Amino acid sequence: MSPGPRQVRWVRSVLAVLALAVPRALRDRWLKEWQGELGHWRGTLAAMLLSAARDTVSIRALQSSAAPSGALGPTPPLHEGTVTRNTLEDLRFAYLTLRKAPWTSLATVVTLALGIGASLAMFGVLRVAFLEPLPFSEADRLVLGRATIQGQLNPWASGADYYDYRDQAGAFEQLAAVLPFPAEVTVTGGQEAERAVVGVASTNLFSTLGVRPVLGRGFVDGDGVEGAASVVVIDHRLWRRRFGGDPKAVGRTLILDGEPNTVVGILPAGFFFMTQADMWVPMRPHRWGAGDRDRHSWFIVGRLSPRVTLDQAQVEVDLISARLEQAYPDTNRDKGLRLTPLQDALVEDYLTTLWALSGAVVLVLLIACGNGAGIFLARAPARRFDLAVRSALGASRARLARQLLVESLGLALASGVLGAVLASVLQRLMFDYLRMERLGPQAPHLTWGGVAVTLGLSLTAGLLAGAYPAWRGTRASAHRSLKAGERRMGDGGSGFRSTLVVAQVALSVLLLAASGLLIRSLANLQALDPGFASGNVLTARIWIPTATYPRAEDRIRFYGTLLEEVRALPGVASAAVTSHIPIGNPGNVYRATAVGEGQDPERIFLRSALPGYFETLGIPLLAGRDIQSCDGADSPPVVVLSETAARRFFGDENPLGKQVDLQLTQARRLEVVGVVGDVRLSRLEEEPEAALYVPFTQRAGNVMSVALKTRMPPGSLAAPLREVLRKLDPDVPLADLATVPELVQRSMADRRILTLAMTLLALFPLFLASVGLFATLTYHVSRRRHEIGVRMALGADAGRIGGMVLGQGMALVGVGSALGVAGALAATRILRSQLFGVGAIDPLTLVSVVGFVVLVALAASATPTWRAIRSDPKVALQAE
Amino acid sequence: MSRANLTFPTGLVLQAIARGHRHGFEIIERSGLPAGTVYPALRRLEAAGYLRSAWEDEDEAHALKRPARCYYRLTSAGATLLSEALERFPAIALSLGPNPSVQPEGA
Repeated sequence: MSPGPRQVRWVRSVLAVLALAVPRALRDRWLKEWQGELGHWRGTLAAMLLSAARDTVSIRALQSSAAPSGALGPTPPLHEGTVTRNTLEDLRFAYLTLRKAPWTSLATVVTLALGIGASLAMFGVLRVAFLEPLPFSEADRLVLGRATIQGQLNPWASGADYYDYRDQAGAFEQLAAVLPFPAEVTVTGGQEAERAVVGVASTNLFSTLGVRPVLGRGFVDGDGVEGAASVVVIDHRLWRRRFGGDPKAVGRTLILDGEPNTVVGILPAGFFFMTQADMWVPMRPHRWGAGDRDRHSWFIVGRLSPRVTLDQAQVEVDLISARLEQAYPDTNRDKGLRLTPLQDALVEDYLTTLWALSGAVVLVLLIACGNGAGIFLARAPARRFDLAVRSALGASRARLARQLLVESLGLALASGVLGAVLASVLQRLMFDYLRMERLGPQAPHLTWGGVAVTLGLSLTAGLLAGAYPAWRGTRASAHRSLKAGERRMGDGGSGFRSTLVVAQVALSVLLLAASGLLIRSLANLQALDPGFASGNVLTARIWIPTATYPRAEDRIRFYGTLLEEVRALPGVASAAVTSHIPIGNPGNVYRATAVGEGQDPERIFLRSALPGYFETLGIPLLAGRDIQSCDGADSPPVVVLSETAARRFFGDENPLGKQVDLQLTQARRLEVVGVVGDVRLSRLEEEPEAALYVPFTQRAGNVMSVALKTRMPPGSLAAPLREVLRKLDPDVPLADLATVPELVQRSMADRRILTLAMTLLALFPLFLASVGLFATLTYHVSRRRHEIGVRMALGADAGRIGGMVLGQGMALVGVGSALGVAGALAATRILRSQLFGVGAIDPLTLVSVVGFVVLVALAASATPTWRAIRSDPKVALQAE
Repeated sequence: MSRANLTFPTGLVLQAIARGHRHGFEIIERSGLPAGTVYPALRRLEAAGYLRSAWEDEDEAHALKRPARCYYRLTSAGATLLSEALERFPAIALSLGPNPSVQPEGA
């Protein structure tokens, strides 16, 4: 190979660096000599640099033992050498040995790397979820308060209740409230218009979290009262994007949905709480429904006073809840507030998934280490001969053990590096799919902790995989091992390998059982009738600003026109406008009572819709009529009940013509005009709740969803829909464009990921188990060739011989499966919250899983069994 | 260098130099020994006085458009050491092909 000029220059500079290792007196000469030979080198440049590096080591060795007389002094003895040189030799020898068995080495490295990579990625995720404190000062004093109704998490609290807790509770240094769902606004003024996400929070949110704006100020109490000037605290990214990071941005004006807002502060980069908001506006009693006691839209965040425990705070909060219940029986019956450490609350939703995956990953790591050791062990007999030769030539036992350890550590390090690469990919995937949104954006990063853990893991794995064979290898007497018989007949740790197969089968059965349950749950959900027909329906959310559309009739006119226009679009079969599309945020819980039935109020969900909603979503009309255009703002208030609502209010009686009192700020009496089928409102997993549908004209909000049932692929109507909206009002944007099937699938994304991850994790040990089974049986067949030959010579038929071999394999699989089933019976319980329509202990799943594992095992045993049957007794007998 | 530590590779290095393969990489190429063996051997042999090194004439190297090389020669002690090596490892003589001209410096 002749290096190009650029490479030569590069090598020269590396040589110059290496020369620094040479004693000063010899340095120039050394450098000149190597540079002189650069043009002559035939090998790779890397090899040349390696030689040069070794040369510096040998020169230093000579120098360090230099006697005062000779120029370079006497030499150290060649055989014993220095520690450095021996280690280098060990490394080189290890490399040569591993290269001699490339497949074995590769299999070991890949197996270990998978185990290490999966654990490291999982560790990174767990670290973010549990170990790393939230990025707020003294984050352990932060608690989340969530409303409960009859002891069940609601989980949002009403704004009015929040103000009472804030004013009455003494256990908190600060008690703040935040809207858990971000709002969107159109930002104009100065530059081009853009949509931005607005967080709404009480004025003390930042001080509660201990976050200080980098410029300007946070909110002050005065910002949160009605009639105060409109102010906004902006996120660091918006500041950079819109103001180019100009410090003079503080004091400037942003037009939000047509209203001027003064920028008073800029948040530090990376601030995240609940939502990735571009800006924050203060909570006010008469906006966002914050003054109502029956509109539950707020998370409460508190900072406990020093030396106050969570339990003490909870006691105080319970007292306040009781007082509120007495003062406001209509709205606060059975209502409470549950305090949870903030971090625990934020990761709560992901707990099952995290623990289930962690458990699976740890098991997989163990099995990977075991498998690495197994592969090494399989090579032990061959290695033992090699070691015996070296031992006979005078290598000490310590030297041999060190050699073996260097080999396994080399493998471990390679696995560690590959594992780290895998981990960064896996971690990205995990973060993408777990989507721990409440914790903020997460980027996979290798921290020192992670690197330390990888190194630890790979070294442990290497030692486990290497130490045992090393120990066995050096113990073997040279004399015994050198006998030819020993060379072939070493037992190769067959007991250990059988144990490994059993463990792998057990693990496969356990993990497959878990993934089987998850797959069945997923299938059950897919097959479920959600109560609406979702095919070919396109939906989008529309948010018209209350500033432009202040009166109900403005909003009624806007959405009425919109509905007419989209209905006229070619390809639209029917269209609807509603406050809530099923599967998604179900909205607030309200209470309603059947008039004259003498019952307690029922929890209900309220929807408003324009005519055509039930038809478009395919929700069947069971009795009476649906919402029609004759239901105007001034006509008698009417309501359509869901089946469940009708049953809860009126039992078996005919509900048509009866009346319901809906508790809003003032109670409103509605006449029941129809009954429609039940619909799953927020998630497929949840039973249909009682729903009340009222005409939009009689409850005209500003945020609505539009739904188009199309005769063509729904996506093709996105552009025409945008166009309609742009013509109606160019300042109103379209958000969350999606088809209903997409919404449904999205609601199951987490579940699908858990299922997929669990299945992959289960297939890994199954693969290892089949390879292990194949190897074990092949080994046994070759060991028992003589015995098989004798048996066949004595008349045993193929069936018997085959049965013998298969039986041996199946015994291992049987024991493994039994252990796996036992493990599954004990462990699948932790998945309970993720299961749907199937119990944690499901005989059908277990039977199918064991059946599947046995089939795979049979396939893995086929070749060795075939070999045993086909072996020629004559050859087999001669071989011995 | 202690005579007891005279090894086969060391003998091979001496033999290669004696045959006129006089700088590092040429010795490596001819002897088939890895660089990691040849260089340490050269260092030890030179330190112990069996070899002497000299630089190629700069102008000559310049004319050939390459940096100057460091050439090694056997001293008389080196020649003696080589004959001992040949006695102990006769295979050395066969390892480098037929060119049996031993030219110790100053002999």
